[in-house]
Amino acid sequence: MDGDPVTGEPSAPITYTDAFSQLFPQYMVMGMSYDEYWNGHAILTKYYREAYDLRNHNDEWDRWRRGAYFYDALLRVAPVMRAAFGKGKVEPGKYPEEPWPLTEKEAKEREIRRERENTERFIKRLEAESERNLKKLNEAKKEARGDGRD
Amino acid sequence: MADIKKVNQINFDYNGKHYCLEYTRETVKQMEAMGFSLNDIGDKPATRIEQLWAGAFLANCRKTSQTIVKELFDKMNDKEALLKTLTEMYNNTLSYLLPDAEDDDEGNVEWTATL
Repeated sequence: MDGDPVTGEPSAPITYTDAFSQLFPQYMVMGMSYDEYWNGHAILTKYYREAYDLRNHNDEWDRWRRGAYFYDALLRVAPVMRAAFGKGKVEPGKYPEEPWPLTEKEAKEREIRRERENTERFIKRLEAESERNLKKLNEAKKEARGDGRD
Repeated sequence: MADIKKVNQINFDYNGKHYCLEYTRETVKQMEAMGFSLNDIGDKPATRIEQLWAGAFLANCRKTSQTIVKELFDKMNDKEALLKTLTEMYNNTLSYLLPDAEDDDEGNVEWTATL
């Protein structure tokens, strides 16, 4: 039952002012000023909360990436450490050339870029190959004629 | 006559002056300090709706005389819709503080003032 546990009288309802005052420190933590909270548009708090969540989300990704880099570095050095106690020389793995993609969109863009680079490399190889073949063919023709002229 | 809609505001022009009515947490606090409570609206609807209306002037049109406030109130034709809009605007000062109120447009009040 609601109310004072001793007297049994119903407790006073919580006013809007009470709720505003109670929640104000939370919004100060999110970076909201006194004036924005009390005198600004009511909807501002919603955006501050969303920005705060987004910042936390980004910070979390940042922490994750630091951990991932450290983990990656450990894995790459591990063979060298093993080699120190074994035989033969082991080269450490290569450190990533760029940070890992943070979003799926970024990952997809990177994948497309990689595919494009692969295709360009393939085309260049193909062109070089066909140029070589053409050169060989011309030389063979020259030899067949036996005159050494072009 | 004016037909301006903006999130959580009632905007209109009257006699060459622009009026932008809204509630801030500060003005709601002031209204409660003056004895206003939204819970009483069922018991004293006529008084409370006028207080609710007058309170909406505190944020941006504080210097508007009580006579004009009353005059404008009398000119509003659909009092039921007006009460609904004002109540939502008033409630939004609290509901926007709570995460549950997110991800919908219910809190975005639209109002067409017809004078």
